[in-house]
Amino acid sequence: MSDQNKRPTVLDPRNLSAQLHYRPAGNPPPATLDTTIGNTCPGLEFDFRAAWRTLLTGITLLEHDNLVIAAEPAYAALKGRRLLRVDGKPVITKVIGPSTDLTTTELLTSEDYPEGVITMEWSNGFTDVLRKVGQPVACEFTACPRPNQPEDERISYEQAVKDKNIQTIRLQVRPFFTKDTAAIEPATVPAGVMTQGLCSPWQNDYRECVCYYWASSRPDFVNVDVTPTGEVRGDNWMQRDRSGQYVIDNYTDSRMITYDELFQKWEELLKFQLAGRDAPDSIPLPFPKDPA
Amino acid sequence: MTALSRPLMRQDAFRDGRADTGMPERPGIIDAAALVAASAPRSDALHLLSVDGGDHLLLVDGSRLFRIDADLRGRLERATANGALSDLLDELGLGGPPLINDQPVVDPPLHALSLAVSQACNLGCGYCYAGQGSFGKPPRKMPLDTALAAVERLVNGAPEGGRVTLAFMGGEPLVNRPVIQAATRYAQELASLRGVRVNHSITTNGTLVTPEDGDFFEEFGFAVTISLDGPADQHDRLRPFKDGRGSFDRIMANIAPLLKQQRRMQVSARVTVTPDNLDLPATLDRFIADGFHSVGFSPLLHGSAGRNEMDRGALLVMLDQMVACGAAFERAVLEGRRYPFANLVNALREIHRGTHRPYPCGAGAGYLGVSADGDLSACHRFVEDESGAMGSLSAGIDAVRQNGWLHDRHVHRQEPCRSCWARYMCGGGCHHEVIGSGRLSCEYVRGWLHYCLSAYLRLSDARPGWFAGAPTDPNPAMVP
Ligand code: SF4
Ligand code: SF4
Repeated sequence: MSDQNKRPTVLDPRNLSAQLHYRPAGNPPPATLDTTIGNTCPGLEFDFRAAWRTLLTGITLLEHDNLVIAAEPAYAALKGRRLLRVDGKPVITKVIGPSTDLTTTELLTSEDYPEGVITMEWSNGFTDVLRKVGQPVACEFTACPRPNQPEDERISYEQAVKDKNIQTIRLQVRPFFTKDTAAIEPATVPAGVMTQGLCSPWQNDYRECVCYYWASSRPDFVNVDVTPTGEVRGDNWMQRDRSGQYVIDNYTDSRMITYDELFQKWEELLKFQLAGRDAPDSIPLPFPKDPA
Repeated sequence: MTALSRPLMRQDAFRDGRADTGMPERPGIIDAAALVAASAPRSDALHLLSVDGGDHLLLVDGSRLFRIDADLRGRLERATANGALSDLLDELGLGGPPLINDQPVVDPPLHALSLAVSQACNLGCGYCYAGQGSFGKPPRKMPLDTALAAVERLVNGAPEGGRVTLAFMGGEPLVNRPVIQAATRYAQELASLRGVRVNHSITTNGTLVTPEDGDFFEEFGFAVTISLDGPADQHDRLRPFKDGRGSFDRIMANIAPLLKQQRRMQVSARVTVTPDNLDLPATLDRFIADGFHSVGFSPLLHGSAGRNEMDRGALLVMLDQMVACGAAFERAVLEGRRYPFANLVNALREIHRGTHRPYPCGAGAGYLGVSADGDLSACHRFVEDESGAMGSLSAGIDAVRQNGWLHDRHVHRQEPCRSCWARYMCGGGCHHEVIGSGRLSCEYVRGWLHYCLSAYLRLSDARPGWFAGAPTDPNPAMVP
């Protein structure tokens, strides 16, 4: 708003770079696509996986798996099925890597992935499909669960072909961008969807990102020193006593701040980090503590 | 070379002392001086435009273009005058770290080479920067081994799935036809083995082109650029054979089959503008009617021994002429007609994307020239020129020289570019021209860009679909 007259200021982005880099009043600096620390697991400012879930009309996919978890009535039969290929391109792949004894390269299987099959991250799996916005594309699903096959078992495309366990249905590709703009299409990705699953520290959860992926904005290894012998010493960001002896977080160790404490008095317990070290307590809070 | 930096400009009329960028109805009487005034440098952070009575803001950082209202325009002008602009931009959500900083590009990957396959020419153009093709040395041809080594350096250095450009220039490249053909075929072979795509291009004077060349260019999808300086009378004055005979009729007869044949290949005309061939709208109409894929103009700013160079007065005339061409283009787009005026088409595409860069072109970065002897240089014009030397095919790219060039040529280290609103669109001007003659065409560059911005604002309102072409299309500009 213009200060002088409270009429809305007209500032209407006209070209693509103006649309891409615009940061509305109130959004923090990392709120644009080029400054964000967004990633896919599940991301700090954006969780793009949430956007891909509904890229194909009629069905909703799990954000990290090829399972159909919801479907509009016309496609109700697809619920519980697995998407194998779109427009002739696989959305799953086999994981091949070093064997546990590192002597050979082999198909990597596990209890969850008995056939060594994983779903590709959707932004890779859907790369080519995005060129077909508005068009129907052939989607190949598992036709039905095999006898005795648990619903969550991931099967390979080859296996599905062998078992004649494939049904092809044409679904339309929704637009990711609003036509001729760099804005994300709200009909495909409603406001809030890309942030609803975040573990960002400034949402309300300081802890659940167990991979500590957000360390660039909230370092998890602090007060770091390198000793003359080359040893690296420092503190876990959540340990009470800043001893320089890193405490491994096992969710039960009493030397750590608890989850409850984090929720209730984070502003007392957590320190600002300046150049990788705890800032002195004498830095006043920039706002009064909420009495609640 | 990029569209915004290289070529030309345009203008508008004035109303109430403020530039009104309405499309000129009678191009001939447009006052280029008014356009120059409207586009004069006032702020290093923004440029304000008035188009059809509406106000617009170009934010220099990121080439971001906004429609604004008169109230905000006033606030921006006051803040600029009071030195309070950065606070206001922060308040508007337009602050933050700059998208382009002082850091030069370092060790860029190579994606284009131009081979001076022949440092000799059969024409005798007075203005030639290459000294009639030989770059001031005894005339010679590039040996086959040198061309193949260049191909290997280009293709083998590209990542799988990458795309590179192999260009043939000279002198007159077709003097050395067998090497062009062998290098092209070798590039395709190597590229298909490595999963790389190669674009081919050639810049020729057209006098030696045969129908068989047309078949070859078509087979490999060449971008063929013919140097033509206007209709016969103008062209023949500027680009005669060495014995003084005109070359126009011969060239047009030679390329007629190519113009008919082009499907994969694209045959374009490139006009070097001098004070002797300033009737650009007529030239543009003529070449478009002849069937060229596109037609582009470039002012001669640094010629051989200063001959035929454009001075300030001639550049202002050219600005008028370019705007007249632009007006014809705008009419054509509104009527849904194809009108491939390359300068404006390319500028509109770049403005649409918000292209911003700290260099005018890829010279000395991803693009290098190769001399007949296998020496590397910043681009095709720096062949045999120590100021742009970049190593050799045998010894490799001289990283110290290349990184030094990229450091020194960054637009933040150019004057007066550092404070010019056009710096990330212009990039500081062609290195070859600037090093040779200084920056003499800034008024023209800014005037043209101001016109292009206003044309963008008009056309993106009236014909938004025109801009919807896939940005990866190698030549989206020319799609009707
Ligand atoms: S050469 Fe420099 S000063 Fe001149 S128009 Fe380009 S950026 Fe501006
Ligand atoms: S420096 Fe070379 S590549 Fe760059 S604009 Fe000038 S002639 Fe073109």
